[in-house]
This record gives sequence, structure tokens and C-alpha cells, in this order.
Amino acid sequence: MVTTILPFLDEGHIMTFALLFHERNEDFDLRDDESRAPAYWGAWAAYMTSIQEAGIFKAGAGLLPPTTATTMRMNNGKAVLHDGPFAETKEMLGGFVLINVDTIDEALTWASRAPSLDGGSVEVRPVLPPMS
Amino acid sequence: MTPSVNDIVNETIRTSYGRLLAILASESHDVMSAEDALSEAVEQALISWHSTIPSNPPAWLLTVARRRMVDVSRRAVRRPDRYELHDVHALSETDVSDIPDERLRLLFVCAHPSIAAPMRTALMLQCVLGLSAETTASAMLVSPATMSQRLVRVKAKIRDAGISFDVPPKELLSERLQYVLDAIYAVFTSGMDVVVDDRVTDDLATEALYLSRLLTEFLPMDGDVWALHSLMLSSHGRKPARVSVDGTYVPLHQQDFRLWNADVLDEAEHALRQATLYGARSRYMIEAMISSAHSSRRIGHQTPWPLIVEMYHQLIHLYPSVGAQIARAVAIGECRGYEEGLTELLSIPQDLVRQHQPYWAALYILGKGILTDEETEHAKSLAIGLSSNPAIRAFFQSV
Repeated sequence: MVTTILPFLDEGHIMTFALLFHERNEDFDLRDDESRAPAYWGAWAAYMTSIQEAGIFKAGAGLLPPTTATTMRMNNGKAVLHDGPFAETKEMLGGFVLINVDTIDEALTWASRAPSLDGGSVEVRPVLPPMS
Repeated sequence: MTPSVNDIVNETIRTSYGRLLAILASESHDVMSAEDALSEAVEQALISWHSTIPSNPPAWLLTVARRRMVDVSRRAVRRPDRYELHDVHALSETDVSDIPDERLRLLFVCAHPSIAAPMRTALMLQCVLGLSAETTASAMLVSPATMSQRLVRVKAKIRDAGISFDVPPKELLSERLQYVLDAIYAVFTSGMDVVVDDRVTDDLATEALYLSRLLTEFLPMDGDVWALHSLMLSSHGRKPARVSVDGTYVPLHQQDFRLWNADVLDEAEHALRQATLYGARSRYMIEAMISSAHSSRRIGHQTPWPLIVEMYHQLIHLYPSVGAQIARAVAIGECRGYEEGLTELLSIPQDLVRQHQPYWAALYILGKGILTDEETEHAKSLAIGLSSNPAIRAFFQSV
């Protein structure tokens, strides 16, 4: 495993990183707050435009709030459904983007510009190389 | 309440780390083992000081760390002569302030040209200021694991590549000093507000000012040292007016100058006079003069835009940079109208500015009402999307 991944992680190669945007519950509420929603959406639109224009965008999506989630688990061989996200935490996944950049430093620079940093966080993770 | 052993240890580290490390490293020419020895001395202190707190904590740490280095060097077969035992016993009684301050040497080592530029800044944060690898990583926007690896590699290089621990000779001094100044300025402008361990400081600007003040004490007759100090002071002195009560960025020429810190700005003026007196010639001199010109509103002057444009001409002529070209375009816009400023801005090659936030910010401000709505909205979008600063994002969202 290590030997197949390591060359991929070498500096100088194009790498794909996932930026996972975690938001607080109150940030999800902003989306429908009449006075503050424009600023919320405006910041995300600007951020996504900048990623697009840098030519590094690979994929991405925003997610509806965690209240809309349904989680499935196996319990004694049976699928059990549970209303809500897989764990209630202070911050929840609000969306993600995959970007193609040369180094993790570049990925971190893009993470530092994410609007979710206002109160929330961004998790930066390298994406597995394609299976061959 | 008497302070706990932990408090005393922490206080000693806070006030003396850089000095102690500099002494140990300049004796052994090995930053890494100096750090190891110092941290082992600190561990030892956390145990031993419970029974007796030494009368001179820094000297105690130094003595223990030195013994440790001697032990290590005796055991190391490969480098038996790396470290010579001087006068460990005499030292336990001496005051550390009686030993020459070696931090200047350490600054020159940290900023040595054979070390990659970003790592010079990182080394200074860690070795001279004693910040943790995590804080250093945050400040430089690098993952903590990567930063630790790079620091280990670069410290091994300092040891193995024979990087000199002497203050550079006269003929090399100004060139080498430039690297030191650049690394300090990079600390100042790193832009991220990092909580610096548990220090009482609020950001890295304060740490950078500490370093530049230290340099003015070491090299009080060097103009360029004063110029950088002045530049950073005048920017720092205006900081209280930079963000409004509701967290929105306020552009320099719209700031309420009554909120500026007059003492700090006076100090900046004093530093600028010293810089002039001692013949500063670096780009920091011109930038310090520009910064000082912006501050002249506090003594009842208008912002002298034509003068600022002139100084940017000089700056760009001597030290070309995209940042200065953008700033000059804005200054031209302020004194000769936005149309002319915009022409200047658009003359900058596009491939240099595609991901450069200040360019899009300037394009939006100068282009509003001249460019099409679509073009200005696009510029605004990138000015927001490329910024890591919530106050700047809020500003462009409010205009």
C-alpha cells in the first residue's frame, strides 16, 4: 500500500485534496436568516468562483443541513435507520470540494480562505490515487 | 499566593528561551542538540525545582543544558570534538545577563542564504522566539507534521553544512542582514492572527516587533534595521483603526486617525529619523517613508498622494514587485482620478495577478462606475474569495 501511495504524494505532482467544510449549527441557520443569508451565500459564491477561476476545481457540493440527514446502520444483520446525522457534534459537514493542486501547502492556503472558518473549520485530506 | 514550579519554569522559558538557546547553539554550532539539551533541562527543572527553586533559574537551566550537551557529545563517536566543556561549574553562579547575548548570531544563522526563505522565518519563530512547532506551522500555513519534518531537516543542515555561527564580516553584513530583515518582515506580514502559545501577545506582529527592536539594540548604527523597525511600527500603530466595531475592514485613508496609537507612531517617526541618519538604502526605507506619509493625517495634513506616487515610482524602479505596482495604481487613482489609476492597474501582466487578492480588491475599487457591472462584480467576487481575512471579506460584502 505504502509503496503505491508514496510516489503519488511526492511534491511536484498534481494531487487531489478534499476540503471538508464543517459548520456550526448556528451557521446552518444563517442560510435562511433573511438579513444575514445574502452575506453567507455571497461569501460561499465568491469562494467557489475563486476556486473555479484558479483552474483547480475538480468536484464539490454543498449539503443541506444535518437535520435532513438519515443514517443507516447494520444491527444484528438488519438495516436500522436513524433520523439525523451519524453523530451529533458541535460542527457538522456542510459541504466539500475536491481541488487539484501541487502541494498540501497550496491546499491549506485555499482552506484558509473558506468562509466556514468563521466559527467552524476546514478539514484537508488527500484523496486516494485512482485504483489501477 | 506563591507561584507554582510550573509558573516559574514557564516564566523562565518565556523570558530566556531565545537567549539560552542562542548561547548553547553558538557554542556547539548545533541548533538541534541545543534544543534537545534545553528541553531536557526544562524537564529536569520541573522535577528538581519542587525541592529548591534556584536563585537564578535561567543560569540553572543553562548549566544543566550545557552538562547535557557535554554528555551527549562525549557519547557521540562521530563527532567527539563538537562540543568542548568550558566552565560549567563557574557558570552556575553567574548571572545569564553577564554572558554576551548571542541572539544576533542565531538570527544570522536562521536567515542564512543556504536555507530556503520560508524556513528562515520558521526557524526564527522557533529558535529565537521559542514558539512551538505547531504555532510556527499555523503562522506559516503549513501542516504541523510537515513543519516539524522541515524544521528537523533544516536544523540537520545547519549542523552538517557548517553554517557559520559568526556575525558576518563587514563586506557581507549588509547582504546577509537583508535576509534577516526579510524573514522578520515575513513574520510581521504573515497575516494570520495566531494565538501564540500561552503568551500574552495577541499576534505575530508583536513578535516581529520584538525581533526588530532586538536588532536595533544589536546594530544601532545600521539604517536599514531602523527602516524596517519604523515600517512595522507605523503599520502596527494604525492597527486599532483597521477594523470597525462590527468587524469590517477600514481602508487606510478612511481610518479615523484618532484611533491610531500615537505613542507607537511617534516611535515610528523616531526610527525613521535614525534610519535617515544612518543611511538606510533597502526597500524598507522607501516603504517606511510611504507608511509615514500615510500617517501625516494625524498632524492635520491631507494624505500627500502625489508624494506617495513618487515614492512608489522609486520603489518599483529599485525593487520591482506586483504589490508595489498595485499600490501605485491605487495612489495614482487617488490623486489623478480612478480612470488613470485603472489604466495603470490594467497594465500589470494578467498572469501575475490571477490569484492575487490585492489586485482584485484594487480593480473593484478603481473600476466601480468605469468598468461594466459584470466586471466589477467579478472583481469583487475574487476580492472576497481569495481573502483569508474575515474583516476584508465583510468589507467587500458591504460595498
